Amino acid sequence: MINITSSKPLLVVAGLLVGFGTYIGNGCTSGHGVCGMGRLSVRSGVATVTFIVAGVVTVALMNVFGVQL
Amino acid sequence: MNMLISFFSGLVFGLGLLLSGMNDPQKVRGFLDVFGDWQPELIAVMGAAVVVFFLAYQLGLKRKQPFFSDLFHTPMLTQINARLLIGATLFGVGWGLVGLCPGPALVDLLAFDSSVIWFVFALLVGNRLAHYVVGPAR
Repeated sequence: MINITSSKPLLVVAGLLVGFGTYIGNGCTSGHGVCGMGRLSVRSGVATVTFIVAGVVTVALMNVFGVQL
Repeated sequence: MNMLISFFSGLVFGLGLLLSGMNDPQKVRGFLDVFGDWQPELIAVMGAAVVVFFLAYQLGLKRKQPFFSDLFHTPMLTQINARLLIGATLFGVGWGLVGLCPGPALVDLLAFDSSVIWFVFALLVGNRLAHYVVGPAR
């Protein structure tokens, strides 16, 4: 089963960002990442690269600063 | 009939996320940890999903309309603008923070873990906030 160790405040901040961001950007991993990329949409390709890079940078920064949330 | 199709689609999608491990926030964060202890397996999950969708979409294009609807609801927006980039960036940051995105979060609701409930509640609030503050994309 899943194991979530993130604190409640972090979960809420992350949830707000994901909810707000997917609305503004019109899609998430499924919408842009799978369906958009599968339709060979350039717009979805750009969105997918953008959110993956943002995710990679976020995880890297959390590791660099030793954020244990 | 439409409800049945929706139910079956959701069931297959959710099972896929569950079996592939895409619903596991630790795995997702491992996938995003490119500069650390990188776990690249999820590339295969997304890659396979894109290929399957591509093939199904090509088959669908040969039809005038879907089996159970009047028309294919394909996205109309094509422009790449600040709104898209800002939205994708905010989403990516939130995704990286805990390793959850909307689909897997819904699957994980069935773990009956209060963490997931907090996340999904905040996700809905964020969605409505964007709707009332920024509004739909034209």
